[in-house]
Amino acid sequence: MCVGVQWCFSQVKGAVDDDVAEADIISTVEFNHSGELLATGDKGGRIVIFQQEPESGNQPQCRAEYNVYSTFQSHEPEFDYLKSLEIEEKINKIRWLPQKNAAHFLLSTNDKTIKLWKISERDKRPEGYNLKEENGRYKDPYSITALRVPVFRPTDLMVEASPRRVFSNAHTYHINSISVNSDCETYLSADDLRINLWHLEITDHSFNIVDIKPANMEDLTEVITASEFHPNQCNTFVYSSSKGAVRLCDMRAAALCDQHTKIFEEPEDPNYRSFFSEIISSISDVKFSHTGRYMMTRDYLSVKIWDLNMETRPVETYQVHEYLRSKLCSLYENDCIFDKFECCWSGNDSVVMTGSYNNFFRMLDRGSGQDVTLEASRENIQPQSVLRPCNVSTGGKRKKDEIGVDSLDFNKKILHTAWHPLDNIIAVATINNLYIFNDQLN
Amino acid sequence: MILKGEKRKVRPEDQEVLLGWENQRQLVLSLSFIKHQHGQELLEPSLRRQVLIANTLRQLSALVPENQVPPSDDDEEDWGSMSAEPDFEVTAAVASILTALDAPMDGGPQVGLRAPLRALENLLEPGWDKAAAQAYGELWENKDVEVMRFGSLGDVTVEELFHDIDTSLLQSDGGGEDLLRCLPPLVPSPIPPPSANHCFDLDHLMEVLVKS
Repeated sequence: MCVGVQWCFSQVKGAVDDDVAEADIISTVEFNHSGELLATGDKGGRIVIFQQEPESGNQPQCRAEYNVYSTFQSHEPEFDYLKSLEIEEKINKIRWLPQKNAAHFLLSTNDKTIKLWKISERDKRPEGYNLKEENGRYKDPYSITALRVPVFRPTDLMVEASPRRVFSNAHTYHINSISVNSDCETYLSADDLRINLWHLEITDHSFNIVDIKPANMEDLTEVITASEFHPNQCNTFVYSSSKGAVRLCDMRAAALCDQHTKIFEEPEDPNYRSFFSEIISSISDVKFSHTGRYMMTRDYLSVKIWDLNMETRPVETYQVHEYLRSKLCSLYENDCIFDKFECCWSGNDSVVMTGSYNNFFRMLDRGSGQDVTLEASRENIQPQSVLRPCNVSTGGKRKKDEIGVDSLDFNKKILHTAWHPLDNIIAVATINNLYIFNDQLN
Repeated sequence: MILKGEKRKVRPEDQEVLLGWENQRQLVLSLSFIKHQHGQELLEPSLRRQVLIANTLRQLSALVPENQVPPSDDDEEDWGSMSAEPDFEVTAAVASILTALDAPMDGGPQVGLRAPLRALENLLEPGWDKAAAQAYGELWENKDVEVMRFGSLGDVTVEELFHDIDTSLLQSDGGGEDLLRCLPPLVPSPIPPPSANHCFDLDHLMEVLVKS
């Protein structure tokens, strides 16, 4: 798989008009482990699950066709009366559990509460109850003169989402990450200062495994920004910080993992030092490769690939939008410098993807070292139309089909992206639209 | 080369650079103060954002040039490490930022030494019966399709509060007082470790509910 692959538009989901409702802003995107299901969460606390259509033999290019499978309200807004704080219903993260039976399970979280949802299909319904009418009303028991065995009869397919567990009251600060362990029994949740370990069956207990809150809050200089379990080693997890460091912890070494096993941190380049050096070094996302050998971090301007066996520096560094380095003061002023971009691996770990501004997203090929900038735009939504690479000019002279740095729309940002685990299908979320692209088959 | 005793003079081109640097420093400093104030007013305060702003303020306060002299070739002084007396106003502002962050979030006395593998039982009110908590949690097991909705306090009547109680509690000794203590929390909110004042507030809240 290389960046030379042509990417084609497949679908776009969401409202067409430019008037964006706050609740419709997409806040997370996640494929399940088979890629059959694609879940999105939004600021309104809703989850929409799309299902991949079975591939048609005559139209293999339609394999990237996803249709709505289930929609439900995951979280509601709440108010903490004791602290006079509003708890937003925005879905911060969705994580799928590995499928074990016909039903699908996922974890969803807002700032304070994590929920386990069961998504199941029902295509039969029982009929012929002895004590109840078909409409559910109870019969007069004296009118029952005979008994019969209820039977299941086929009915229209219904997809039901039911909350199976609610994990609450364990986070004082805002939850930014959840990650399911490879043992499929436990998962972690991380907020700004603490990481807790849960068992999926137990809702009233959680174990605190990391706590970086200082005794005196005046001494606070660093927060946790993301955390993830290793894909294969159930004892290992990492968490990233606002100071650009990633700490790897081994739960076998100690029950409390405040002391890291490894710390991945690259010294600052003195040539690029500025007032904003620390802010742009803050890591917004960390993801293990599927193999588990590498780890990817996303800071404001770059993506770095780390070998878990080498802590001193990344093995690969890719600039996402280096042309913004000279604009950091303006980006600080308009708060864009605090945007948290996510990143993701391709199924075979050969390409990584991350978002940028102006609805651009970047594909970075690790094998060839090539990169390409593509745009998620409604101007190019003909089915299977090929996306053309985009270029940003920094100099005075601008070539044809280039866009100037000062012309970029910083309100159009792609923060959330996802890559199908087994195929070249990607999901890219703009503010309120979900774009699905697939590679062009020859 | 500057001879001993000779007064260093600011070169015109260096003064320009110095002014530009100082102007940007002042700009970023003022922006940071404004952002701190706006951050307090945000409906969704972000600890990460506030900490990054506070760190920027610290950094700026430490970069106050003493003699306003730019570095020369002979002078190994590093621009980045120029420091004088820290700006006490900025230091105080940083302290106030971070202290204020703690007050609405993690209030109450700090948790004591964390014992390894000590399960953090989901924060319960004093007198909350653990069995009741488990029964409340198990309500989720019986939920079918409909999602439980959390309403605001204004939408909840006393009768609706009682709907969530496991009726087995009614048979416990102690009568009504035990029942009141076993009421589920009004809202699913993080509860700080029990403290005397906290207990007093909850008791008062219960009193108001019962009277209403």
